Amino acid sequence: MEGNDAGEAALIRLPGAGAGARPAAGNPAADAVGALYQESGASLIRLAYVILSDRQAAEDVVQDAFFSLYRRWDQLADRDRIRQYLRTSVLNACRSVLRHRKARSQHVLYELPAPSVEAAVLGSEERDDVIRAVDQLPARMREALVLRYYLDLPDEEIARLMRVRNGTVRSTMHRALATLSRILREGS
Amino acid sequence: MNQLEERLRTAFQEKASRIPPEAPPLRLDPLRRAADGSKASVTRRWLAPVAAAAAVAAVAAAVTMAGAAGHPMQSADSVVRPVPVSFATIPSYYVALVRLPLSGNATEVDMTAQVRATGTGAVIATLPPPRPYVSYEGVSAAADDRTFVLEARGRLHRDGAAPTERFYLLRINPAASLASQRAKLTPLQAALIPPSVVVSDPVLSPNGTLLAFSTDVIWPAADSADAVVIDNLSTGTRRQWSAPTFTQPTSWTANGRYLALNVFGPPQVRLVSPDAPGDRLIPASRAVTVDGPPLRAPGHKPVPFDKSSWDTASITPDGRSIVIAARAYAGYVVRFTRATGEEVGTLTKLTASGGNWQQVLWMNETGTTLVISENSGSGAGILKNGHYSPIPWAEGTVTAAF
Repeated sequence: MEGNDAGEAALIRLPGAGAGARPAAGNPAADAVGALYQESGASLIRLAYVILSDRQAAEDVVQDAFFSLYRRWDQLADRDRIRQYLRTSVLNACRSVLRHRKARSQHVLYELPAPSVEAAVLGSEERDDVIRAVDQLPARMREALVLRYYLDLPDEEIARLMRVRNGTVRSTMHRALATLSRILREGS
Repeated sequence: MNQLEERLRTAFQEKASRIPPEAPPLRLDPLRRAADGSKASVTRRWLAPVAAAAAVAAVAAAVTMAGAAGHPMQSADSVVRPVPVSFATIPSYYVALVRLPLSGNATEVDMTAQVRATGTGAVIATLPPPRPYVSYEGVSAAADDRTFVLEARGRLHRDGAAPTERFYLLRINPAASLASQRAKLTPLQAALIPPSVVVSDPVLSPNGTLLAFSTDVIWPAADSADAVVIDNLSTGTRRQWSAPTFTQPTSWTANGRYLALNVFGPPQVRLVSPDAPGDRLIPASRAVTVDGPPLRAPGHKPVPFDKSSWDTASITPDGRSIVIAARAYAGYVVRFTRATGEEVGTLTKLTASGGNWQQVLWMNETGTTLVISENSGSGAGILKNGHYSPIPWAEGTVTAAF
């Protein structure tokens, strides 16, 4: 998670306020949720983006996770687990987005970055190939790969987040890597 | 860590780095969230349709339920008879799935259904999911402008088990003077969904008697047992073929003789007949070759025309062409002849931001007039002769069937 200046944390920007920001005076829940957002909002958007490949959808699911947290703030019994709650909430929302896309017969899209000299030097084409291949995987495989290779989570944590058994994580991962390898081989 | 795992790690990190380290402003005021339409969030998208639905409460129909949901019952209504098929004009009515507000501790977004007039966008009927279901997941239309199938879903389980789901037949009668008679939902006996199975992509045949869908038991089990199912709603018989993961039925020919499918893996469009023998999809179906030149847009490198650059491929009702909605950084709809696989025309090139994908919601017989939705469901329009004409569309609409 990326840290931020604590002085910024109490500022919550509201729509219509333009580029400026104003403090949500007298609202401890808004202050606390705003601080959390300052601290972890960007990294959660990145996580959602890696799964969804859609920046707008990624921002939406994170906004909604924080809004949901804000609405429930007073009922939260265990505030030590808020970060865990937020991540679970974002992953659930990503799953929901992917499921709805599937219902609409849509695969996850892939936004190609604008080409740059730097990207070319660093071999972005190969990375694009990998991302394209990942985007072709079923949602559950993709989610497992992101949790393992983007967040570096252990099997037990991935199992908890995906609500499956540890063995299921391992077999899903195995199948995902095998399928990915096949897609990349066929594409080369 | 092997080479593939290393490549994955690097690719994910690079992809994540495209998101700037500063998050956009957080919006916690629901009314302001609703009012800010510049970048509608999941939550904001539901607020507008809810307000719109309230405004048309006078015409919102009370849904007539033919039997208690979740309890199988024999009903004359549940036996589907063929309806007249026409692809001559764009349907006057469609059924939209619309996001519902998040409730309680829910983090999943549920959807309700609305019957709307295509020309005006007016809501003819609102159909909340029948209890015990809480959301709709899919919708499909027959080709008579009156018959639809809705896929209803129960609550999601915390342990990841598959939610209860059921198909419903929806018949509409927009001319009825009584609101309660404008829409009638009937649970479908012939398309019962077994527990622990997740279904997706319901596609109703033009005459309304065949319902195709994909099934997936990967959730929560890891070993996929995906299949493609065609239920005959008139006779109650079922055909089922095991299929590669994520195989998606997309469309029928007008005569119901062929179902088009998108097959995951090596990108393929395949056609299967409801009468095809065997229980494995690949041998039971045949592939249709579609190939095109790389997609090009100014300032971007060409994108190879492969599975990662296109979304759904549908067969035209006359069975002669395949229409593909392509993605990448600009939206394309490309038509190919089925016989040769050669491109016969790029029907549109929409410049879209954000989502950059679109759905083909309806086609005429030859695939030369289409209704498409654009960019994450933010709008829809008619595409004809290379000209795109937007139609009235409500914010919060996730998908629709014409």
